Amino acid sequence: MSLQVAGLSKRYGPLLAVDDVTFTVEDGGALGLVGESGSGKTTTARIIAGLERADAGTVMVDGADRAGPARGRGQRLNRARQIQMVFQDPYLSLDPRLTTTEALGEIVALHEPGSRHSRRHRVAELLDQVGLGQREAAALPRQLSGGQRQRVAIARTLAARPRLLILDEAVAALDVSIQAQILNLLIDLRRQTGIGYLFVSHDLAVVRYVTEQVAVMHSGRIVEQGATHEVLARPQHAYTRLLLASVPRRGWDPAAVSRARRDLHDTTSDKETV
Amino acid sequence: MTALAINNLTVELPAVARRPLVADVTLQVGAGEVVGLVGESGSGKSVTARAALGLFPPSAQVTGSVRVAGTEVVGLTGQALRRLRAEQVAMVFQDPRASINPLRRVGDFLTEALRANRGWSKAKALTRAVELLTEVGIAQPGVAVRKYPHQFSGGMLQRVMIASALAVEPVLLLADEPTTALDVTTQAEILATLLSAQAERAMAMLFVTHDLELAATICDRIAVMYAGRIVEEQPAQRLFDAPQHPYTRGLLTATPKLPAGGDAASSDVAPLVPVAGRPLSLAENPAGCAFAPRCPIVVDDCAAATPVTRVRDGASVACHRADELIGRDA
Repeated sequence: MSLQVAGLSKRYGPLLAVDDVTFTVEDGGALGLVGESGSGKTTTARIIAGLERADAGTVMVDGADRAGPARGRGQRLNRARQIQMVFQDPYLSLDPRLTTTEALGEIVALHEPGSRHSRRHRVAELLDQVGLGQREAAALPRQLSGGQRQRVAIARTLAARPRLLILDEAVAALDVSIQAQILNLLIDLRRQTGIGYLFVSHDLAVVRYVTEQVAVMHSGRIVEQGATHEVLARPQHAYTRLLLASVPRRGWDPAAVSRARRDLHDTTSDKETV
Repeated sequence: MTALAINNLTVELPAVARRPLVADVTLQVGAGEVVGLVGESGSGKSVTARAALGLFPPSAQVTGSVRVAGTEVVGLTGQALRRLRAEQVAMVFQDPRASINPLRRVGDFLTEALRANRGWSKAKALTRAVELLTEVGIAQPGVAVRKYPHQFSGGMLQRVMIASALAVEPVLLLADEPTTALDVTTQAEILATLLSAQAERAMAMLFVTHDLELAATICDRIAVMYAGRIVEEQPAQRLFDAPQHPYTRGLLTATPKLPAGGDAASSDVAPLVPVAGRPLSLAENPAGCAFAPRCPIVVDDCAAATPVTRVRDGASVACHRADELIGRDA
């Protein structure tokens, strides 16, 4: 399934949150959508997932438009099987009163009713896919660690057998040692199922591990787009270079980075006043 | 004199947690020194840092000693505790919006401590506030003191927070994840501001963070915490070059990195090596080393006793296999 986004725009009052955004995620591909807070990356993702309506532009899945509201249960289920979304904080997106098994069973029943036996089998398969054991299956969200909760959230999205996952800062709230587990899980899932990813993140280093393509957003616009390793190795846009320089590493000088940031701001504001 | 000297600090919360929040922590920060306290959520790094303010969770049982510029903080109350917080230790928190009163002007927030503790006149305190705002890089500080917190961006408000911490002229500055809530390009500016203020005053700084790479770039020395204990402490550069404790090693291999110069053009990315398992929750208190269930080099001894901290060549490590590890592939 390929996703084509063209000319997407969204305005909130005086703020043009998303400004003429165009990109494609190939069937089974992985695109990183990178930017800082307020860059429009999350709004773009939410429009694609159908959680927000764009003012202009199209969202096409395999050539069919997805921008309008879904009509009827059949179409809603169909759309759910195309695209699913994983959020940053699984604690906010899981029902606190449902165990992992119940939370998964609910969605399995929605998408693959079948017999009770087949549903139970499917739940076991999902738990296995995301690496959750017996204890976690019987646990409530508050009894799970952050990483385990995010595994439950991912399993819930996989229940619909979607062709594309939108991951909105899906590993940002996790501790480093757990973040690597979830990133590796995402890499494995893609290898096994051929699912595609739209990976929304502020973190260029993380994007490097899960995507082949990347689009960098700044003030609602995509300022640079290309193969992830190319963009990271030879960033063309000044903003991408600033983002890269801002990541702490050996020999890093925060004072030099802040000077570069001020220069960039000066040049952009000059342009705006001219 | 050592700005901060923590000795065998243990903080327990029997009603809530089965294991101590902080267990037998010993840590020093000298004048002019930047020490990083690195750990994941629940490792006890914030509880340790707050101990320097005499700020412990309600009904916590505290043993050990915390000295700020020679003064014992544990058990301090009333006037003496207020004086410690007013004159010696200041703290910059993660979320400035949660720690600045939104209903008061930034100028009032900045002058409050100077007027209350030092008895300065309003005019004198305000002049000082403007000076401090200039130092932390706020444009038009004379206008800024009349504004309310909501009129500032997160990064600018964190600068105001730093200015208020500096107003105390503290011996020790505690920075608890001061850039975690900020955008990555803003982070660099806040750190540059913080570090130049620290260097100019030869202030001691305890920098608490979950980000080992960040700590390594700005700290002189780093202590790594796991499940309430310091498992390793080394000069920053050495910790990076030759991490000793298996947890520190694990953290470094699990951290996503940007390509270095050499492998920049390649599309091959070496996979991340995560730390297996999950962190210890507060409800668990297994015998022996807390890291044993996740440790790749665990042996039978590990579950038997808590490892003692061994010191060699300026590196201290709490691991049963430290003798084998220290000096290996350094």
